[in-house]
Amino acid sequence: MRDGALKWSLRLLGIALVVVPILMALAAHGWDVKEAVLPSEEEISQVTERVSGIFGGGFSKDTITFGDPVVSGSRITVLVTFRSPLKVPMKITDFSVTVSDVGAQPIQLQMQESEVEIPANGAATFTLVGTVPAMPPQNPQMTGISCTFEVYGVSIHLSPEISRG
Amino acid sequence: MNSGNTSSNGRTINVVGLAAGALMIILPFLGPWWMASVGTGAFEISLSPFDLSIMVFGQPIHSQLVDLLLLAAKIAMIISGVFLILGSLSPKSWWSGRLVRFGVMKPLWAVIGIIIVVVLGAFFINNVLPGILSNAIPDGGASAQITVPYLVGSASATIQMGSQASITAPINLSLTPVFWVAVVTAILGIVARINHRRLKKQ
Repeated sequence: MRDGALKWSLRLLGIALVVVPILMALAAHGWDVKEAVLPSEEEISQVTERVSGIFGGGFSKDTITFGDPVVSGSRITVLVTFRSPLKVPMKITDFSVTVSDVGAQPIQLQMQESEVEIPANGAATFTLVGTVPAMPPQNPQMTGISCTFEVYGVSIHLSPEISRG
Repeated sequence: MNSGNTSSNGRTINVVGLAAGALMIILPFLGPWWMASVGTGAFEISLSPFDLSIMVFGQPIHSQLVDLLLLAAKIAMIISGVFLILGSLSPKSWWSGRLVRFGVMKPLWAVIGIIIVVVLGAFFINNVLPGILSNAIPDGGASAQITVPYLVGSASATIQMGSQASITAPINLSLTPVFWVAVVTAILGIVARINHRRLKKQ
């Protein structure tokens, strides 16, 4: 008799520990299963705000400013100022630019620094270096740009198309 | 073997049961058993049978149902630990068997449950998520390559958006020392149950 009572008490305790939290969560959300299971709309909107906040207004033509190229022998250097639109710190790990002209060998300019750290909404300057070919382009135009940066340890690589003209 | 059959002042005690019970009581308060991170703070998950913490860019997200079920699991583990200690203190009493059996195997099921949840999660991420991400990004030029280790290890996920952009994120999965405390607790629980049967027959 008493063993049976203990056995059923323990069984009911085990069931209650599963059923009661489910009922409590459903009751707190008006018996809406979806609302009880999923994060609240407020939390989801906060995450969305956080993500969109990171990228701020996004990249624009004001983000990157190229200085005048300096040629020394066969070496060319260009100073680049990068104004971060991001609301979090970022780190540029790779930046390259391709300059070419019709009939001429393209010039590849590569970031000299191994990495450049930029504070939130801040600016940093780095140097692009390359080699001028024997026949330098007469009307050089930027035909390619490639940038790799890290935000929150996530690496983002962009190589946008350059519109000519 | 005298490991779990200590007589003190003429009283038989299941010592292994006491140890397992004590560990079961403290186990819910030791922290996560398994952790996963994407990048450095982009996405973090800390998981145990008693707690789930998900952070997206430092912003926590919760499910109230999951939180309440995990709280119940925490309470169940503590009650089981108390019952195991009570049953182990008096293994020959009529009620001890029921109290010991109530929760002595819970740490083992918790360990197995965590492994199953993590492996199923990795299976979903490896096999289902790339398709969802590829379809979610318009223009049809997106492809996602995600290979997550099934329990522990490091990998990287790449989402390619056409030829102009790609995102690569390092992923790290690890079991914490608390997981191994749970494994020890589960083993002690099994030994305590065997020991309890032996003491009952004496």
